[in-house]
Amino acid sequence: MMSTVDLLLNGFTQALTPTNLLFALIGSVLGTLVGVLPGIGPTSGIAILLPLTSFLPPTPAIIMLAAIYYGAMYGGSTTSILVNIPGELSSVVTTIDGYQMSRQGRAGPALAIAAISSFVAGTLGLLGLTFFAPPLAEMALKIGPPEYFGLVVLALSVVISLAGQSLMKGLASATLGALIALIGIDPTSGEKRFTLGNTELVGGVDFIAVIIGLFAIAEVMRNVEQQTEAISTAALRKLLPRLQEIKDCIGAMLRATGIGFFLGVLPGCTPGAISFISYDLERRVSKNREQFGKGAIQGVVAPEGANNSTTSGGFVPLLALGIPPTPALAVLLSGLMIYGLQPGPLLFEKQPQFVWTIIASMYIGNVMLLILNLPLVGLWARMVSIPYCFMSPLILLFSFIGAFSVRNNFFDVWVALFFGVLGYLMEKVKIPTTPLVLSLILTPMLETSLRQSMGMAGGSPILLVTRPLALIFVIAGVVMAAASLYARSRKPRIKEYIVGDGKESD
Amino acid sequence: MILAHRICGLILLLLALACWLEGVRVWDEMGGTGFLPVILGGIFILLGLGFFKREPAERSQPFPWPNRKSWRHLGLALLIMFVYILTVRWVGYPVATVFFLTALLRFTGNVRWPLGIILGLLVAASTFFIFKIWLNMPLPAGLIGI
Repeated sequence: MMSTVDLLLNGFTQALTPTNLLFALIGSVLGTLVGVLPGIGPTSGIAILLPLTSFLPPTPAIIMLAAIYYGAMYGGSTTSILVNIPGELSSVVTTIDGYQMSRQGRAGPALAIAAISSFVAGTLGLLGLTFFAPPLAEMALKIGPPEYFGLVVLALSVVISLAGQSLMKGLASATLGALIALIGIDPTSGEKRFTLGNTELVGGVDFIAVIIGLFAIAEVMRNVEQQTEAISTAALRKLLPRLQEIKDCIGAMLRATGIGFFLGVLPGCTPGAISFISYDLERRVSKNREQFGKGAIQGVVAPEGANNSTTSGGFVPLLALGIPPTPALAVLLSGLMIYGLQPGPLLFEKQPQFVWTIIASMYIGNVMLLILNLPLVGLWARMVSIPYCFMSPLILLFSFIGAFSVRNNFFDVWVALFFGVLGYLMEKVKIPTTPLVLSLILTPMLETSLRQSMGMAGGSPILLVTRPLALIFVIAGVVMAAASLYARSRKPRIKEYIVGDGKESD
Repeated sequence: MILAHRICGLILLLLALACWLEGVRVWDEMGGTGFLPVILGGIFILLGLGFFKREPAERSQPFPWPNRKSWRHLGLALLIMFVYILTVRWVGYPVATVFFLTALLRFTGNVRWPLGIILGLLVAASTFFIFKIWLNMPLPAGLIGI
């Protein structure tokens, strides 16, 4: 029987054929382009470009789709860093320090470190996928609703860290996010909630529209108010981070890889939540935590690394079990099924050459993306010095297109505008917007896992404290929340680390 | 007490009321459809009342609301966005976008008319090509039908 290394090497011989290399390259370029377009994330990127692969045989087609996925994940950070538009949930956290770095004339190092971190975490994540896919997939299946509930509690404890100067305002923001998440049809009972008789609200409020509003449109409004000349008027100093900075980030990259990969394996654990957890952990262990929110380079490394290793981790349940853990991978799964390929435990046995060629092509795709992205850093970085009077109409236009593109629905564009105004007002009243986004992501998962857990125990929440792993997660969440509260009471300056609160008063 | 805080507190209390009304309306069982709305209502009440208490950290920091000129710029920008979203379905993406961009460039960016119109045309045409032609996105065709 062939070993994993043999199988992988065999995959490389297939993936390195000129045809497959060409489609990996085309996929990487297209994915990066789509990812860079504000508002279009990997999910819509793959969906839009899926028909382009229809004329190809299965292996190059899936190689191209996987490359588009990776490329879009890479490209998504570009707009977050440059213009404060996170194209998808997992890029929200990158805006916190990435955009601050851009404003300080350090867009180049921010983009470069995002690319390097993505490459390192993506490649290490692929090693995990290569060697541990089947056992990890089996383990992921053992994690049930009570454990998910514990994980959400752990992730929600981050709200206290993200609350900024005022804990009360951070909690208000998070509670508002939870309320927004409840709008629409309850997935368990089918009952409509908070729809106010409006049919458009029955489908719920789209995450992307909310994020585009809170971040991009609100930022344009702030800059229009202040008649900003350019996102950064500081001279572009260096395009690449210093070697020492890269060395300082190695630990952050490894931590982000671990968190992103292992949580990415769990179906339903969204990259958005994972990037928040990674950022919070990095801030906690960092020696210069007061720099977080003000342009800390590790603040870019943590979410970007986690984001990309999640991508690799997500392939574990996809390939080994046929379970897509993220919407983008669900679209990719449909791409696999178009070709009659049914991912699952038998895929590794029945079509090993196909699976290992795809995995090998991901390694190649990661290298391609690094080679493609680093030379472009200078070009992108210069964008921040374009006069804002030209940038703001473009940002608004792309924001509206991005909001529209998710469901091809104008209601989402109105939602984006509404949240743009709300985000602007929240900034004025110094209510941070990041807890709202975190809560918006986590509330559906919290509610579903709570109800499923109670359903499993005949209506009792007992399983949440009797299942060991669930209990560990809950206790860890409570400990982290308590530690954050303690830190707030001891060091008031820590409260100021987050963007969106307090920076005006500095 | 800062007026903005008081308004925030009031909004949170109203949200609490909305949550409770909705929670009671859809209530089925403990941990069911109405459970989370009722819990959120309780949290909103506590937070709303909290907002009526002044925050020591912000005692000397009035909120930096914009001046008259900035309000005008902001108001214009919002009006242009509002009109664009309202009309783009009927007028069609290419035409509405040219007007939207030109108006924003002129009124909020003080860009001269000729340059604004040229840029508006260029951006509208290029985004139309990328999103509608290349990416096949169903952008509204409007009355012109393209």
